[in-house]
Amino acid sequence: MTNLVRLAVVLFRGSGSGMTAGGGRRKRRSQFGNLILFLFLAVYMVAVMSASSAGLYSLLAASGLQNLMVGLCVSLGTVLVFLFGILYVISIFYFTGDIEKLLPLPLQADEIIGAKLAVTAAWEYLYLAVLVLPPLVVFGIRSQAGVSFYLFLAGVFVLLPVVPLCLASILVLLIMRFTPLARNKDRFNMVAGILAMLLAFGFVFGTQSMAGFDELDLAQMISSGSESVARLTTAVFPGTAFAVGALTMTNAARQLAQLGLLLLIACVAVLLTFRLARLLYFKGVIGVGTSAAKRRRLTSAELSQAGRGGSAFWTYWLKDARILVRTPVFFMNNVLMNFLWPVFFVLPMLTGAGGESDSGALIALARGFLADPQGKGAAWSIAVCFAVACFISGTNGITESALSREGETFYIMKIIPMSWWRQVLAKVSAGAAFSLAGTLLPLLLAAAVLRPPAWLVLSWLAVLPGGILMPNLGGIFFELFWPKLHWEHEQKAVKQNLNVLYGMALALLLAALLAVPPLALHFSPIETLLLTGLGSLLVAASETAVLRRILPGRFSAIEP
Amino acid sequence: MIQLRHVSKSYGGSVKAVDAIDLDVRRGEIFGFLGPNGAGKTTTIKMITGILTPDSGDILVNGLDLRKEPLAVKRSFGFVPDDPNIFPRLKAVEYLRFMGDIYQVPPDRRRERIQELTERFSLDEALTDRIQSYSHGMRQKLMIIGALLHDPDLWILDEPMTGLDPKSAYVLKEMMRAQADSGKTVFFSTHVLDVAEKVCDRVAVIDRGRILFCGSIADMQRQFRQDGSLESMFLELVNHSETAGEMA
Repeated sequence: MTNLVRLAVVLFRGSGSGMTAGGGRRKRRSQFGNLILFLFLAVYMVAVMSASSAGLYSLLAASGLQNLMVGLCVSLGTVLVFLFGILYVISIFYFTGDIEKLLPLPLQADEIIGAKLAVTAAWEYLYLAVLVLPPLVVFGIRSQAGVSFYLFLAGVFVLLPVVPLCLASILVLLIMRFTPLARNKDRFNMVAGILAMLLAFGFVFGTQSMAGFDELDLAQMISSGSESVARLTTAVFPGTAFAVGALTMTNAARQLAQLGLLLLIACVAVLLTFRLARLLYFKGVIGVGTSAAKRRRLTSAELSQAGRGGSAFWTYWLKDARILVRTPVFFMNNVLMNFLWPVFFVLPMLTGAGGESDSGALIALARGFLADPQGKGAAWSIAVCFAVACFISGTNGITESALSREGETFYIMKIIPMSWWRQVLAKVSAGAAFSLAGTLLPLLLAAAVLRPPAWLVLSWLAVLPGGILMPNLGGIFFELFWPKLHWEHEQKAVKQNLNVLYGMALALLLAALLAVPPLALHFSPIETLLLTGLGSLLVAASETAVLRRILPGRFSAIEP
Repeated sequence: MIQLRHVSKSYGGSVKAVDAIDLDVRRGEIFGFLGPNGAGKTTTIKMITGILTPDSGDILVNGLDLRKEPLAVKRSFGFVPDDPNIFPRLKAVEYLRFMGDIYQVPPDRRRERIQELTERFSLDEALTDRIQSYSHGMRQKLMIIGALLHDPDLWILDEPMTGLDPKSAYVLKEMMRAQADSGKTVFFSTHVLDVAEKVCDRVAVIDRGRILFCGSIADMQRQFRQDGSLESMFLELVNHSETAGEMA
């Protein structure tokens, strides 16, 4: 236990540092600016979550279903912890640079896993504090709950991520046990990442659909009171229902019992994870970072291919793309997420629907909406398509971590005879290409299912350049000011990098500014196309102009 | 070939990593840059290559100002860093292609150079493997090959012998000599005084950010009025500098 705590402290210390953009006063000023931006973003997110949950509370309270809000928040929190946890756990347990230093030390597998689990949990608490805590506090205020509610809330907040995080760890420990059997370990690790995410999605939506209630159940639950309605949303993880119970029951003794049960389940989950770690961790992690070598001479064809000259821009682009795809941590956090978001949105719709007939009805409804003679549905779909492009581009974190991913080898960018502008352009292009692929996937799927008229599909395509370039160009700004170049493991460059969060916030803000007016003011399809497609291109052009202006100064200031 | 005029650099605080140094590296010579750990060698090299911006002073490479004509300056040198851990996920052949494209090496010349250099450094049987699978020494050799692919006028090497096996170290020393003899220039930092003594035409000794000596080994022997080894003179210089620093 002592080793676990000591190790956790060391790992925590190592996970905080890493911002640099020049030295001394310049660095302090830069960090101060970063802190202000972070606080602003945190306050902004808390305000948005609080305001929207206050609205939701009023809506639910009108039907006496306010407790449903607690169920929704707790479910959302656990699902987020579980899905993000998969990515964190794979990266932090298996691909951090400290593993080779930890393995020779006299530490048990469960001590290493315990310490790493604590570091992972810290990041999960951060997400929960911003996304889940504000609505629950709003619930407490609006329902005029006493002090005991907040005490139970504190307990639930501490215990909530434990079970989903342990489940994510168990899933990853089981899959990664097979790493030594793979000849190409990098490829296996990537496949393992995909498999883990798919299993995670399958688990979440599978348990949801298994717990699906028919309309009769629903009516009975609503009529029998809001406590049972909470069950609707809490069937995802063991213990989730106890968390909801601890916050919504009216009897303090029962609340305490629910919290006790949640604690018990959390302890069982931790013990199970530790036990499995002892059995599986070392078998999977030893040699995980090794790379197979063939040691063979270049064939004459390969030599002539290596000798074939290409453009510097293209080769630079290719280098970035290869590193993104081949580095397991980057692949899982940037590339895989780029393609998983659509699944994230589509699966609940499919599993939430009561069956094929419901899906068919939903599709028929959507087709009818798109064919609306007033063009409302078409305009709406153009705005949504634009927002999806912005969302996928802003959340994949590719340009938002473009410099950070270089790490201490960032100096290469400074010594090669290629202008900084072209290098940044190549990085933005790489991000834009992945964003385009991630956006085209759901768009083409929607076109195949909904069969809209050709002019509408073309309109969807027309808003993509702006919808993709605008967030990608925006994302690189943060990297120019606060690149995270000093890291021991790749995870820090992409996941523990606030620039990704800032880029996401900027992308969503810009998307909202351009996509909401057409929806709110009932624009025609042409007007929507002009505002989103052309408007975003104008924003992208402005970003380009500013970028060109500040680039020399910012690049000089970054000293690896 | 390289001119430094009153170049200074500090990292945040008041301690100067490099303190108003002047240096002239002539065309056609092998110039050794010597100093203990933390003396300012790597900082100086980073400023010459454009990785760091000097707080003050001017740097000219081949008569060109790095600030005014950065791309022309960068095309003229090949740089081997002290840490060869770059792009581990790329295959060696992809890295060389990257360097060839970035420096616009013509296809025929590129094929010839890849073949020649990889054979000399015994890497010809590992080019299809990822850099990740390479040992430290192999990575170092790959960095050297990548830096020399475009046959630059100036080689800037930061601790190039670290991790090299004896054969490769010998090959590199031979190549450095041939480079200098053909009128080109080699500027390298090293801790290995034996190497400096054997291959350098001139050396500079830096400590605490200041140049303590600049000249040939014979000049140093004359200055110290002794026929000692470079090692003994180096130690005397550095010890003297440390004592002076402590007294100040």
